[in-house]
Amino acid sequence: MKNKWKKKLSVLLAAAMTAGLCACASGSDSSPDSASQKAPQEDSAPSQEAEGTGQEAQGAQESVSADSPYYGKGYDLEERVNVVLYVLGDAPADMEKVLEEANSKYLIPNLNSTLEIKFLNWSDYQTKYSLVLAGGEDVDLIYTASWCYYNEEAAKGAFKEMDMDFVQKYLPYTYEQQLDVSWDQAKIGDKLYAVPKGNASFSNYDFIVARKDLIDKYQLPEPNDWESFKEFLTGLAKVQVESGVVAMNTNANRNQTLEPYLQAKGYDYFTEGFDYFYNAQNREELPAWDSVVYLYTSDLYLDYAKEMAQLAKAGVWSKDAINDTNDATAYFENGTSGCIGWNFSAIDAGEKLETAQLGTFAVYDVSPDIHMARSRYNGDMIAIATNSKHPERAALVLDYMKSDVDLNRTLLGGIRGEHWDLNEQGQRVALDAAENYSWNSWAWALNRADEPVMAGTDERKLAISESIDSRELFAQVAGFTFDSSVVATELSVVNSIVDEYEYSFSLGIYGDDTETKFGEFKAKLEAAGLDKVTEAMKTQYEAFAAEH
Amino acid sequence: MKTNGSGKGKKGKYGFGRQIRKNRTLIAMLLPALLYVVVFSYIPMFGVTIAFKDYNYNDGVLRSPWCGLQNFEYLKISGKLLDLTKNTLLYNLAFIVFGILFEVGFALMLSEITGRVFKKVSQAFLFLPYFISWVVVSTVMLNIFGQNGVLSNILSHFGIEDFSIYHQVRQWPLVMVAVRLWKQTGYGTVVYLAAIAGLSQEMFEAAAIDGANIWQKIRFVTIPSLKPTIFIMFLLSVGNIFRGDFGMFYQIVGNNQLLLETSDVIDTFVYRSLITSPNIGMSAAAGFYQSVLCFVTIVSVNWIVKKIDPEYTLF
Amino acid sequence: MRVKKGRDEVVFLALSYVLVTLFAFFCLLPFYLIVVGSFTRESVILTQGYSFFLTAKNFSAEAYRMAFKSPDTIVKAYGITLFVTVVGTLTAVFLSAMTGYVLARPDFPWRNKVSFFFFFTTLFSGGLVPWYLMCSKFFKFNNHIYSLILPCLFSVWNMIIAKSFMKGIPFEMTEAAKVDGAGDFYTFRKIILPTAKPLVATLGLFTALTYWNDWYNCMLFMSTGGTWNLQYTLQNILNSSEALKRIASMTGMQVGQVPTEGLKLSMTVIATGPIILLYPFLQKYFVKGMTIGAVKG
Repeated sequence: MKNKWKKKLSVLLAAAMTAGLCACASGSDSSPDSASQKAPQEDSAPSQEAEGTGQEAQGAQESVSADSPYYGKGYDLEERVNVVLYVLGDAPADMEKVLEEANSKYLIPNLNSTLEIKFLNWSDYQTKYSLVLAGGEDVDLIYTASWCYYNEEAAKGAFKEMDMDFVQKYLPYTYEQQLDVSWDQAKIGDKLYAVPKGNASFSNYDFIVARKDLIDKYQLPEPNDWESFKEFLTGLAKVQVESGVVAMNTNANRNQTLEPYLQAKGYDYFTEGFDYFYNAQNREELPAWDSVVYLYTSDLYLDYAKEMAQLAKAGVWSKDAINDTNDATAYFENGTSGCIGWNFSAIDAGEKLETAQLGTFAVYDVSPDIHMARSRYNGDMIAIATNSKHPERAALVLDYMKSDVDLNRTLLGGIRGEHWDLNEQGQRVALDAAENYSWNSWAWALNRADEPVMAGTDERKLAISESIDSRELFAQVAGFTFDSSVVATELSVVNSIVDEYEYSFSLGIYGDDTETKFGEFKAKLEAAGLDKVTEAMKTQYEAFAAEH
Repeated sequence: MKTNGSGKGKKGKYGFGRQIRKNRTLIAMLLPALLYVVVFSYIPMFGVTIAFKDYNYNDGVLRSPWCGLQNFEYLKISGKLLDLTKNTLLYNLAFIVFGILFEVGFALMLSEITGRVFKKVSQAFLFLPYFISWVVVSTVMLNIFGQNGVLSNILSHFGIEDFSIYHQVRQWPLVMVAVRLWKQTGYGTVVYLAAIAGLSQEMFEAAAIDGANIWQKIRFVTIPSLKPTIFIMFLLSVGNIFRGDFGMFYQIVGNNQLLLETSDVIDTFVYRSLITSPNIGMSAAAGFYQSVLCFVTIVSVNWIVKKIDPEYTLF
Repeated sequence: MRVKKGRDEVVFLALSYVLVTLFAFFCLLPFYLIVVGSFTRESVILTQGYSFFLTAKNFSAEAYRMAFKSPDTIVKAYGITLFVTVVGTLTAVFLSAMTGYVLARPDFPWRNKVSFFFFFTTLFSGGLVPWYLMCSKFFKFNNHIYSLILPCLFSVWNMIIAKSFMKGIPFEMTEAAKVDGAGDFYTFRKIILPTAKPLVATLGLFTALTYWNDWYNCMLFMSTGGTWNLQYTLQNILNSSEALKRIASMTGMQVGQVPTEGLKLSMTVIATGPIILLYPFLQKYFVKGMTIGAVKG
């Protein structure tokens, strides 16, 4: 009887496995699209701009209007295709309306396509991102970024690899309009897996936004460089009881001090997404490898940790800050923090503060001499999914969205005349319906260099923006990207150790033990195989340097 | 050789086929759940192999290449695996043991209390913490037990300045157990209450006639009758003893490295390792490690319990 | 039948009342703070933390206003959750109890093996990806309401509890029914189930809570806003701030509004509100002596 039971069980399991095989076989049925290997239609009609003689070509391309920028270029636009785009964020209230406009006025007549946008909410994307690509639902285009799983998903084969021929053919206008360096920055090794954004900003430049009213009231030093910034903080901490304001009400939610510190010392990221830094000394040339440091084992970081411990002792922030995960920006907006260290978003926080009439702010740059490169173009990209059934059409739709100014602005900001409009200076003004579709809430990867500035921007913002722009560095190293798949194991352990200690150091909780703890931290990192990662970085960089 | 009316089964008085026929209604009653479990648990279970594979989308789960123990490397080179396992195990053990103590204790007390309104109200209150998510719990904790919190204010009147629970590094495990008990007790008491409610009254009447006082009644009647339930709940919890409560540890301990030294568990470590560059194989490897440990544990413990009394076992 | 209370009993009862009151108080306290906090002005929460007493000056229903900004969303979400909870709970309890009954029958020859078959699934799991792929591609769960019902339908945990309870019901009852000519299923439905009221109440409570609190399945399968259940709608807003903070710090991008502290608190209250009333309602099933005389009768 026992044997019969075993047999029964094994039959049951076998049946289950078979059923499973079938299920998953259909799941991973993503044969690489062979459409791109089909020879493109020979263009019989003259490929000049449509001159109204569309009659002969009508047989092949009647599905697309003669005014379309894609007309008569040999694209197969006969079939109506629905392109699905996944982006991060929350759907604005008027999304349906704006999509209707985009589809009816632009995409259907000119590309015989419709666009469908699906949103991955901020809370879900960490789980759903992989699942969507694994084949759960139809996906043609998807947002990605160096911080949004670009490297990982590309390594898993989730994104279609594009060579420059493909880009020139199916993303013609984008290719024309974008800087070459943007494509370089989007590559992993030599391969391109996503289309970068058109405009890189200085969102990586951090400065201090501080309470001007308190500085005046207590005659505190203005934070014009790193030392005076520390004096400002300790000075403000001394009068905390009287002012009711915490000097820098920061916590374990975001590190507000590290970036300004590094900038003040002249250091910038060596390559996006990894903690290797170098001092460019405001020069454009590729740095020598020797000048590149891994941040967390360097003396640079030890000094930082010691300074933070001193600030903690002086009461610049709460002793419980390490366990506080509330949004620290809110503290500044509500007047309980003396300053905030961030990028342009800090100015937004300041504006909220002033609107609530809780104080006044001023912008201070603690690194007024550093020349920095813009943030990388791989900070916002759109990739074509390998599972897409119409990759060429998806590419064309993407190209259209990026290259056509009117369509682009409709997607970014809504319907002109309803949600936004341009004034005589070409600046952007928000109209009544603006709250139903706020400017650029999801389309970051589609942005263009000629995006209109918002009218009535705060002068302080304009001032710092000009200052940073004037010191723009066109660093050659910006084209270097690191392929981490070779050291994935070591890197994950290194990251977990950094994650474990970094807030504790930046909030100075170790006090006098900081140096000992740093030694411990450094030893753990080295034991985790940090050397391997550094070695890999060196090898890849030297290969890059040899070619440039 | 065929038996009566059925093609399967050996020939014999209690042939397998006969057994199936005899119990066919019972088997039919089992079928829905069996089917459910096969479909939703057993079929996806081959995904366990992901822990040993270099997964990529084009090949899917079945065709991705094998890579041996590569995905387990990161657990090994971290040097922390033993500590993490120890922490996870010890914390869970404390949660289970103290949990059962508190839950049984309160169930006993609640079942003896006669005031109906008091019972209803207090039971509802006990349940409230279950509904508060760990995210909110951590904020509430900060507000009550933090340096600027309610407790600190009260204590400063007694001369203890700037008291913060987060600085009590040595006593921190006690804090974790206390918080856990606070959150879970209400929910866990229910099972024991129901068990007590289901007990036959004859035994209690007999005990009363024999002149037992309430302590004796509890010791010699109620608790022994609860033993099956206690054993089952214990075994069920032990089956997960190597899986840490991620929500709790991540929210309450957070990024405080001093506390992490004693309170880092496998799940939080894996999260930190993979949050920036997720790797499905590596996280599957950690899950597999935990599963194997749990499996070995529960089979052993179940076997031990079988020696005590075969009726108390899980399977 | 007690006529008067002995001294031992008085001591025990006194102790019980004291301990229960203390613990209940500590359970209530944080929740009270949360309720008060949800009605407090945002700036006050940030500057002064939580407090026990709410002055009229600090009162603000803003957090609730924000949550109910689109009342139809909340109402619809409540509706979906209610439907899923009721349907799911009724089915799930019946299923678990039935399975537990079969496995508790001493005359069922394969009960230990089948129990292990069930239990094994709690030990090893293939992980999210294969399960999701199967549900999504094979069963087309996406955007169907049964994707909210099916995943939580059968839990081995509940089944084991059911089995344990069923073991406590004397087998003689089943035997007596069989003598009277009743079939197994009939026996289960008409005789055993009514006797197992505490079990049904327990399973009902646990299952209802699971369904009520489930937001994960909603996140995985329901992509359109109008099909979200209550917890997901709330969880979305609550968790958004977590992820937003991380991204904002990494990329410095301009992101939308991060929810306020008060909103977090009001969410907890809104989500908890109705379900806490279920428990006292079921409490009557946890009274001692529910199964008196079932065998004698």
